[in-house]
Amino acid sequence: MDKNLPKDPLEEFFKKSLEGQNELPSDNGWDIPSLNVWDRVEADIQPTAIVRPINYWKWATVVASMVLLFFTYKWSTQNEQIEELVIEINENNEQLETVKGLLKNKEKEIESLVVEQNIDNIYNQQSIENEEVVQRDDVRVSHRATHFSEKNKNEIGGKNNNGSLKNPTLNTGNMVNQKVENIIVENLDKANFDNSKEELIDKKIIQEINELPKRNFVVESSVDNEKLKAEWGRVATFNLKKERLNSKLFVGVYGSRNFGMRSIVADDSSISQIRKNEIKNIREKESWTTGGGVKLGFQINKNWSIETGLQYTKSEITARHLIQKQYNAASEIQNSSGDFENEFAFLLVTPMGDVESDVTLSRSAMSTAIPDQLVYIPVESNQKISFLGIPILAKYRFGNETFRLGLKGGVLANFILDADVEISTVDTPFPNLRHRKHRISNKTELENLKTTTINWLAGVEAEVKLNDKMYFLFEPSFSKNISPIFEKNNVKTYPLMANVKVGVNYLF
Amino acid sequence: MEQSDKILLKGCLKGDRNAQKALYEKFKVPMFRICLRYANDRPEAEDMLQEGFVKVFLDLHQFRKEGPLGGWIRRVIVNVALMQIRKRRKLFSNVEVENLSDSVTTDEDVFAEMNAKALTRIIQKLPTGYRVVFNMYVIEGYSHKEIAEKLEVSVNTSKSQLSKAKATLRKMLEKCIVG
Repeated sequence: MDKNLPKDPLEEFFKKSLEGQNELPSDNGWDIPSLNVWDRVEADIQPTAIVRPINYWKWATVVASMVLLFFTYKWSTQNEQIEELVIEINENNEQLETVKGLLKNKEKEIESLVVEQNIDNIYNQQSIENEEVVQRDDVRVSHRATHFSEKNKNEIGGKNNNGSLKNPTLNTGNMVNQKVENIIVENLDKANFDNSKEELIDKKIIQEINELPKRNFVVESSVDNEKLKAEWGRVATFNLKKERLNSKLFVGVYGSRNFGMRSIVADDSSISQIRKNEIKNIREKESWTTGGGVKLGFQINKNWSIETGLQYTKSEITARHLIQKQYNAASEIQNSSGDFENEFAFLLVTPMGDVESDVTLSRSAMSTAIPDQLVYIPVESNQKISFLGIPILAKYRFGNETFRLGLKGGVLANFILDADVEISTVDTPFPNLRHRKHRISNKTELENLKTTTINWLAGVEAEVKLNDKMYFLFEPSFSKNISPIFEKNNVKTYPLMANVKVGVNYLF
Repeated sequence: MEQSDKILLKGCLKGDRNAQKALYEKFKVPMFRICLRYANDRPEAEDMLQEGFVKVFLDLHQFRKEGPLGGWIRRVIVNVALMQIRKRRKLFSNVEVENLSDSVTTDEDVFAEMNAKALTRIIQKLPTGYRVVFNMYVIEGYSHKEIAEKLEVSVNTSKSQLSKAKATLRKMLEKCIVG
């Protein structure tokens, strides 16, 4: 702009009369705009006033990713289990086929022996036809059993059709299969062709198989019509599942990091938005807080468990508040040292509720008086609040012995232990005003502070096996107060907390 | 920049509605006076003030803090006023002012009796082109070259509009005084 001064008296007159930025309106108010001008301005700048609303899409994406991860993991491990199972079944079926072949050879040998024995009997006892049949059966059975016992001692695997010895163990290094095979062979020694005995043998086989450690076996059988084949035509399906140790009780220790947030709910969404903006303006800085705890769990079955414990959280938050107040010189009070003081109440936002607090600004009696006007006082509060939580959670876990994923949900009761709040002004509206740090070191001084809160809690967890007794644990979770910690003018404030625990579980 | 302006600026930049309202309350009167001088009437001035403050809040991040906040807001308001005038009507219509003479001297004692409200109303009665150039040159302190660039007219047009504006004002003032 041009700095030259107008020389024309008319110009000088107008400039002198109209220039200047005197903020006070004239007496008759001709230079005050209508009240609705601000409303129109406010309506036009509405979108810019929304400061970082809670990004629900971001959270929805995180949740969707977790769900996707869960199902992907579940699908992949299921496929792996099925593949492993198919391999095991095929191996077992191959072995059974070999055993069946082996026994068919033995059967032929037995039949030939029976025929020989029968011929002997016929020669020796020609006159008693009825007894012959009975004896023949008895002989056949006993002979067969004896034959088996003797044969087993020498050539467990028997002979192939070409007469060569079969591998007597028939195993591929699988100790369980070896044991199963041994059980079957041992029971064959006592084989009988009576149907009721067959059933007894089956039960015994199943019972002995089930007694094998660390394995679950599901034995399915089908019986062929032919008698001899009935024993060896069985299809035994071994559903080999690795089972976790039979521990029922576990304890854990962990450290945690927590991050607090807020959810503002109101019937009128515009009111809610205003409150959100207020909170946003108040809480400039919120740091991660630390904590830790112990937990005790009981495993109901392979997948489900319940858990409780003690959870200590120490919250350390530096919050900034911008207090807007009318400075009123008439309300100044002279203190004992002669200074003039003015007290300003404001709402202190804490993780356990919003509480009324105040700051006091003072000036020396010698300093210039402050004219009445609207002032903004930036205030900083350093809050150290500790609380103890008791969670009661249900957990569903899945996976294998070395790595497990889980989902958990339940309630968390938080009890405040102690509160220490230091309040100081960051800046004063006038240079001659000063402020002394104000400290509230007792929780009872913080009126309206919630001493107990009940929260919903949900989360996921991962466990990695360190050894037979110890598991490393990683648990992100999210909790929200069931009831609002602060409610004013139908606007409700709910604290939220994201939490990550890292620790170990010990199994008994 | 004043300490209180710094605090208000910080609050406005964060989108604090209270700080925005406080800024508006602080500057609304001087800015409205400017708008009244550029506008034909009060409703038009209020429209200018509204649009001006909307632009102030939207562009506040561009304020470099090199000068007073009030000066920056004033420039934004004047620019918005000029834009509105150019949008709404032809800036320089042919207005004949009879017996123009720059040589007529002015009696300051007579003028001294006029208050700011009356002077503003007299300026409002000027044809748009005269009024704009007169405000920019006399009150805001723009040079004719700057006015010519801003209004996209020649320097001579700016000069002649000022000359005519002053002549008209003298005439109007005399009428007021005479009765």
